[in-house]
Amino acid sequence: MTCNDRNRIFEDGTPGEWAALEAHATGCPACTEELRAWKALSVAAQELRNYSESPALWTRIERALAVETTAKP
Amino acid sequence: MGTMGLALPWEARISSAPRERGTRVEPFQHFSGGTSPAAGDVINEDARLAAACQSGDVRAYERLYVLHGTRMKNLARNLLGSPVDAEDAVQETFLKIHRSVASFRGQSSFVTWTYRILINTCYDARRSRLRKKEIANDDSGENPRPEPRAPGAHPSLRMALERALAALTRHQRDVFLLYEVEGFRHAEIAGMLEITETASKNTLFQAKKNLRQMLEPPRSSGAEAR
Repeated sequence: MTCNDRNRIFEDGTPGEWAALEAHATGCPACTEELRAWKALSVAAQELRNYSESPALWTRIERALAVETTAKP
Repeated sequence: MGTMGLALPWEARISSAPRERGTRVEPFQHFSGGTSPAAGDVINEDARLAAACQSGDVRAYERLYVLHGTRMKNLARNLLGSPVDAEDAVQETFLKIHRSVASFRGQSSFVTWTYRILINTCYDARRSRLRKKEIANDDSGENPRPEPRAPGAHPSLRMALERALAALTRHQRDVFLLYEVEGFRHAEIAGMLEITETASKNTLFQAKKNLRQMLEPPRSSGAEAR
């Protein structure tokens, strides 16, 4: 495992390769920093997750489906 | 460090142990794909749902909404930048499913097909919105409207991420949102975007590389590659 393997692992690494990269990073500041930044993006992505309910939305959809069904020839 | 003027509080929340291929946080149990015994149930559920929708049973549409409505709305909100437009897109998606479900032949999972329709609906809405803005000569841009945020959300980080996402290519943005935010697998994303699994992985890699450059340019440290 060398720093040259890093991008390939980021793109399509197996769990074993990720573990090897983590182990390599313990002695490599460059890979430590790259791993930190890479994982940070995944964590930051949670900020875009808002699964709040929209109680009125299903009612709206149901009504629209009913209108469409009755309008069908 | 250039972080678009933001102190990004990422480091404190990063687990030292890698999750599945790099710390992605799973929002939902997956609904399709995989080979585990549970995956078989999911496939059956998917087929049952498709058949019930094809029969015109409105309860099947309600079930689809219960299973996927909030995730569909979240994806639409991230693609359109507005919760109101997102709800319109979800409603329009259900109507499109209703109109074309008879032609669904199961080439992909029903849920994958549903999300493909949603994504296309969102891009149609974006195009339509841009056309209206051009006609109205409105130079206010396509900035997302302010909206209530999720409990615990970090607004400056979210805004920085939204701005950076807007600068990605459409495919990069789609794959990032579907994988990192919505928690789909590459195989599922491939089906939704009609690309290969390899292309999905490569696109995610490029998206994250670009996002990293935009949000946090690499430090010019003395750390040498080994």
